Amino acid sequence: MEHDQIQGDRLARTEWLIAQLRERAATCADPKEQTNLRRSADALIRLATALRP
Amino acid sequence: MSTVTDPIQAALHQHNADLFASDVVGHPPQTLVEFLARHADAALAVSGADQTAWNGQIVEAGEGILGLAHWDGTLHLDRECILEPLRELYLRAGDPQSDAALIRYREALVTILHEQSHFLGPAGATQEASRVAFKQPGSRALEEGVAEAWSHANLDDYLLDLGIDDLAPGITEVTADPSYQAFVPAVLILTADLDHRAGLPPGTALHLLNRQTAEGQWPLVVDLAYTSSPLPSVVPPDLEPAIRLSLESTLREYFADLDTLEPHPRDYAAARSRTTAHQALAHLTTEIQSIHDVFAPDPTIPDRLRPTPASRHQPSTDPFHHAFAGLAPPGRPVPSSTTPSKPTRPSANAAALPTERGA
Repeated sequence: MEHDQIQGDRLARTEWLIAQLRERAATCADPKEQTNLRRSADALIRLATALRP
Repeated sequence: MSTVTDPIQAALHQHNADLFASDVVGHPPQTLVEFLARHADAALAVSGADQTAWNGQIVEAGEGILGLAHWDGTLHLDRECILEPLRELYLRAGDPQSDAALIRYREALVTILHEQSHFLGPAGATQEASRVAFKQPGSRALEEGVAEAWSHANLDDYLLDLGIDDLAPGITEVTADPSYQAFVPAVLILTADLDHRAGLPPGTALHLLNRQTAEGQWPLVVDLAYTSSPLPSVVPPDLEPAIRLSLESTLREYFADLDTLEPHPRDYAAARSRTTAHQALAHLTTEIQSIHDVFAPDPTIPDRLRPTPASRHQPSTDPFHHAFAGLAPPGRPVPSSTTPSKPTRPSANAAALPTERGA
């Protein structure tokens, strides 16, 4: 039960970070930084997908 | 009956409907569909990995994703940044191209190679075991850093294998910068250090790690460090698994801290990534030395200054205690959750945004 709660919190935090990175990518003027932010979000999506039950 | 007129969707539809097209297409590929059918084989060939977990399916990515190696084996690719440049590459095959166009192609191709790297593994590796391991501290930093660093280092070989250097003349003359600056610099320092410790040609550790899934990557790092150290000749065999686990835990802890750097600008993240890697390796060296001193004490040090077996179980701040904290006594099964305590150290970025790591 506690493990599920920790996993759930971690997933929620990961999804929040993904949203933050995408938001910043959407408004980023530097194409390199934009790609960097989008790919970082991709890596977190891979983690979020792994964390989902 | 509807007709697919969108060329990207048509290529994906044709590819996904004919999963074994790679057996019949020409080499090198001459169309986008042929490329899609062959590109994973080329990643296997260049990497030397035993297998790929790619299930043969490719879908157009949604939700702002550029590229994603999904745990179900499906490859997700962005239309604008990956599929469209590739379609253009084959449409204009052999034509002179601007540097800007070549860089777009190169960036698309390195992203594909990066995603295919996630699918590579040794014989018998499973996506489920990899998925479980990927959630452990430090796994994501290592796997993403290895995939990105290796893909950039081996992209030209990949392009040559697929004949893309002939289709887009000059593509090997332009460069694309790596992403994941929180992870790549640390991985390059770690793998160069492992090559040096083990007396391997430069790039070998990176190449070997890229053939592993998350399940095997950290154990391989520790294997290279451990077997190239003096420890195998002094550590009793029954303690070796626990000591390897302790070394792995040390390195994982530092690499897990790299997660906090991701939201930061490239240059800042890269600098902190390098610093963290150097700290991790210094700690590794100290820990190996401490363990060695326990089993092969320096005869010039008086006995009264050496830790005794009894003192190992007392609270202590010396390196010996830290090196062995959490280890099972000899003859006992090694608990899988052993997490030795570590000396206090600064985090990679204490002021960073919250990380995705759990409590």
